[in-house]
Amino acid sequence: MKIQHKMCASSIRDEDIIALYWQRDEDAIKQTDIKYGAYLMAIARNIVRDLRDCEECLNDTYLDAWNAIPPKRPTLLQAFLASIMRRTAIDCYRANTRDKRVPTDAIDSFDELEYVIAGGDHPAKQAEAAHLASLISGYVRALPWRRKYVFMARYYAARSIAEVAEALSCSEATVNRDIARIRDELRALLKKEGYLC
Amino acid sequence: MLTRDELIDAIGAIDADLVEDFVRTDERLQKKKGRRISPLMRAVALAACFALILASVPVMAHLWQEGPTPKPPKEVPVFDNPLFTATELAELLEGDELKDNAVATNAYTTEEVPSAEYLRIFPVPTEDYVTLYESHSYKQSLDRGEFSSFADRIVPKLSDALGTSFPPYSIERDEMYDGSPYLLIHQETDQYRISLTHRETWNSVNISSRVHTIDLDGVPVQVDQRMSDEDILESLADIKEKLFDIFGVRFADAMVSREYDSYSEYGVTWLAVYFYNQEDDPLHAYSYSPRSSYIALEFDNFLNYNGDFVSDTMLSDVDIRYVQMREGDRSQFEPMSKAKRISLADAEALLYNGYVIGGHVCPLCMAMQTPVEFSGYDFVGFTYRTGYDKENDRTVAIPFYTFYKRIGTAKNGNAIYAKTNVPAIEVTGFKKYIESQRKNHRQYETEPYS
Repeated sequence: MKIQHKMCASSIRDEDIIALYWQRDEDAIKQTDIKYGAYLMAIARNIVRDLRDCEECLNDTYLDAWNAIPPKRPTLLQAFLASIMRRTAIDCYRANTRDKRVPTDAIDSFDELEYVIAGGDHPAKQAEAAHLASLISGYVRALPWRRKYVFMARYYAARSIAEVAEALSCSEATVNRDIARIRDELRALLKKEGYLC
Repeated sequence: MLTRDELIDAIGAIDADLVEDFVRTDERLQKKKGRRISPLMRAVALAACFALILASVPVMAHLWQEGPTPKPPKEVPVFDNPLFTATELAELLEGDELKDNAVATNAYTTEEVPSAEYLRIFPVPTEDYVTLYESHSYKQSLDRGEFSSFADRIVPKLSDALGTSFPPYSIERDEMYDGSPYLLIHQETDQYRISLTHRETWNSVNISSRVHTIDLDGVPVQVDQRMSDEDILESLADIKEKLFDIFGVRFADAMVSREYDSYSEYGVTWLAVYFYNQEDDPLHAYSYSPRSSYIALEFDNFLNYNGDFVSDTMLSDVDIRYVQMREGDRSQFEPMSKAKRISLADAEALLYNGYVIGGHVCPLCMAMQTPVEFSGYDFVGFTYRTGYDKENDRTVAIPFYTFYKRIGTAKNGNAIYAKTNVPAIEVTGFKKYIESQRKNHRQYETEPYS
């Protein structure tokens, strides 16, 4: 299912694209690519960088979406696809890192997370993915609007500081300050919950 | 032990509604940046009004007012010639994605400052009529030749001033996440990083230091945050001339912007010095940063990473930025129309009834905000807020009154002010619209967040 990525927009509605998936019509993939291909490629490029890897991630994302819908019926297709792409791209990144194909410092935003967990040599309890995700969700939910956006853009979509600043029409220093607060707060939260000492 | 991978995975498994919220916000931000069209002829016809408004700015220099009028009216004013309904204005400012679930009701933003004089309050005009502006951005196709000339003009002088030698550069092409293309030159030495970008609307140069200080011809770029704005600008006179020489440009005006927070023990968290031309954009009179070409010195005073240096006196952790608008030194915003300015008494009536457009639009955040009683507010000023007019494919700037009310003192001693906005022009339908928004907000069963 090789898809030729197109940099153009589509006016087709999400409901219609999802209906195509449910009808098992392969045009669903084409319409998804037209409407969200550029967005998904941008997520991949922030994580794996290499264009061929990005295209592989894009194809894998479409395949996963094809296999997931039905039975799923996403409320927001773009977010649903973004989640798949992020997971796929991170898997690719990890594979590349093990193979030494990508320098570990290529992903600044992930490296920043080292600061959050630094000093956690004697954990009070084992990290459980579901509980941890719920904890982080609660934290993000309570953030003010701008910092919530910064968190998601930086740590979910792995965007650069410059890109986040551009989107928010603010300086990179402002974004850096938001990130510093987020990391300090997240670190304090994880410590309080026993994930860090 | 909690590993980095576990944390990355946990963030990846964050609740789907937060991802959806992020995607919607992203889309909204893109729309707000929006596409713009050429100037309309009516802007030319209104040039005289525009000139009058600009000429009046110096006169207004110290006219921002303290405190409310003695007996604020409680009745919501009804205007005869409204320019917008509250719904239209909210959609214009916040984007149509938000119209069903959010616009500020009791919403406000907060500002933390050492004392009231650090609040950046712009004076309320004395004229009965105020100008609405529209803006246009001329996107141009990328031009490698133009970018090469830009780099060739700047990089050698920059290298000399920094006392370093950058390797021969190569131009790379990349895209922002929204697909907009740009050209990039990135160079590094042991001490400095410089990056030049060429975008559809502007060229830029960014200079940062690996050791958090920058010397130009052996002179350190630093400021003493204890100084007044005027003294800071005076202390940077030599640096300014060096920068003008390096970038081959001169600017007539300068401004200093400072930011504070609630817990830093080190005074400012950020201080920026901008060199720009005030006359390049009429909204410069109401801006904290330039909207046209400029040089910026941005001093960071926040603990971001281990090894960061923070100070309550001299600031030296600086990034230097030069932005050159490709369309030249023309106004970004131009007069669109004039409108009757509502009286301060009418604005207070709207304020006291909670009919404000506060500037923070997330419904959840608003549900969590501790309500602020703005009666007996401390200061009132004036500002412009911008929004993307989708129907006419332009960005418009709408005048607002800004009200400040002190709501507490932070643990570092800084004063905390709540700030909210009331349109300074005639708007109708507040009651219907904002009451419906309040109903929407009540669906969020959230405790006030302090």
